[in-house]
Amino acid sequence: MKPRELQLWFLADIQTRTARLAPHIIPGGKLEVKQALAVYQNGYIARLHGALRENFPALWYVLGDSKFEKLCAGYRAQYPSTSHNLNDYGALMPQFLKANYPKRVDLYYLGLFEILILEVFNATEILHPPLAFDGIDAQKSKFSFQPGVRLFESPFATYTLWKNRNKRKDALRTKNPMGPEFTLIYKRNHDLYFSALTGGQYRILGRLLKRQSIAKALSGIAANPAEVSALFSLIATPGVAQSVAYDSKQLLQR
Amino acid sequence: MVASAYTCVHVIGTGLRPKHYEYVLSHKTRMDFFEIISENYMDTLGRPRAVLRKVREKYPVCMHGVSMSLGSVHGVKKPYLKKLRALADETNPFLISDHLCFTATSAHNSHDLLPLPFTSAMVRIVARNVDAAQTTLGRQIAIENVSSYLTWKQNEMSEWDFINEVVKLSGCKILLDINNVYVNAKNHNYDPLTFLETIRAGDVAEIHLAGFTDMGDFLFDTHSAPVHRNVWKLFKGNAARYKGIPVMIERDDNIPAFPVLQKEVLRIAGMRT
Repeated sequence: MKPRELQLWFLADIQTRTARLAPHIIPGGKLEVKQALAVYQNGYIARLHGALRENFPALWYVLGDSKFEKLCAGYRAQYPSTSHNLNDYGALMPQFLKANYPKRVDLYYLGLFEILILEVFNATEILHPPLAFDGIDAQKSKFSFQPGVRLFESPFATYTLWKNRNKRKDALRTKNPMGPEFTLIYKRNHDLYFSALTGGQYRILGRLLKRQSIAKALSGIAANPAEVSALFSLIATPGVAQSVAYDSKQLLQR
Repeated sequence: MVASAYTCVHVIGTGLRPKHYEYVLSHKTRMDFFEIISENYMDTLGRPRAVLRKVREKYPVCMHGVSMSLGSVHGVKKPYLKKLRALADETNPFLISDHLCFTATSAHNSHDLLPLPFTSAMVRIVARNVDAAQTTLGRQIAIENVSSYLTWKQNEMSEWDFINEVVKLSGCKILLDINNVYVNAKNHNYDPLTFLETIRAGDVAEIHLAGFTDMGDFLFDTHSAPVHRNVWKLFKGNAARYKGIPVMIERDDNIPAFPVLQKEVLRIAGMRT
């Protein structure tokens, strides 16, 4: 058997729990051939399911052990791992949930939220001096945000669900609180922070994240002065914006 | 090369694991070096990378990978090597290593260290891949012997001859895992001393010790227990040959508190030859 064939068959036997390579194998220890293959087959499942448990802890808690294992098996069958990076495994989970759990739209949003958490966790933090807003030109100034800043909108109370993921599972399953929720996720000194936003604050911040000027971001959005003021205080919090600039060349950092 | 902090014939270390981050950053440990799992740092710019930078300020570090797939007929993936190179450029490790196995095909990843057939054709494939890795990384790498639970009927040579052939053809070094030698000796019924005596100490760049789990029907390389007494015995019996080579203990499951692990690692230093 050629090396290319052997490797393709070996991986296929591992993924599909078959034993086409059996005639070519000498099992180790006192194992039978199929038992020796099973060591690798079981290891594959354990690693991929372990990665999904780690990457989607709230989905796991909401579904419970048995249903989550079933979810993992289904996902693994549809999406075998293609990357060396197990932190990436489950990147298509929201789509998978949408297709396979059409009546549980809340799970789709939870999957999306947990992927954002991973993105924030793996993002870098850029050191910068504290921000100050006095003297800036709202017509021209734009914010530059930390790479780990994410916005999340859900028709469900997804963040609330995620936050309570370590509570009693039956309590989580029965409550299923409704939203909508608008959440800002950011991090500081490697710790993750979450801020609940109003719909108006969410839209303004969304525009600012798209590099619109402050004036343009505020235009046409019904938000009261207190909401706007609270939003800009939040933006100035370490871990959110890193600078505010007139244009791409001139930075105002105070 | 790594400098020993105290009088011993061995340079000692252990794996840097998230459970120990806080302890390692806030205490002066007796480790001469730390080994990182490359994949746990090369795909993130978050906390693990920041911790690594701080640890590197205090200790020499070596990078040990699990996904280079040096035995893959499809070659080593270039994006992987580029990321590894970027991490190496930032970390400046005293050694980069990975396993003598394959982990992936061109499309799929097994996330396991899959045993290769010990054939001359495979020697050439591994040597080609090692060459590609060494060229991209700009340095010599070391390859580790892996534990296995099956072997191939088509084998043309022993595992130790296979390793020596790869080293000869590729010019790489060996990361000698004595636990894996013991596990394979039991699983595949050979004398571990034959393995160890055939590997030239001059080719060895690092030594791993670890614990296995006896599953009854076979030994399983789990890194979840202290180093087994028979593995210590193998190391001790050959320690004189390994003078000056960095030696570390791997622990990836049931990880004890750092002081407990450190005590076990210090046994290496206590082994006079």
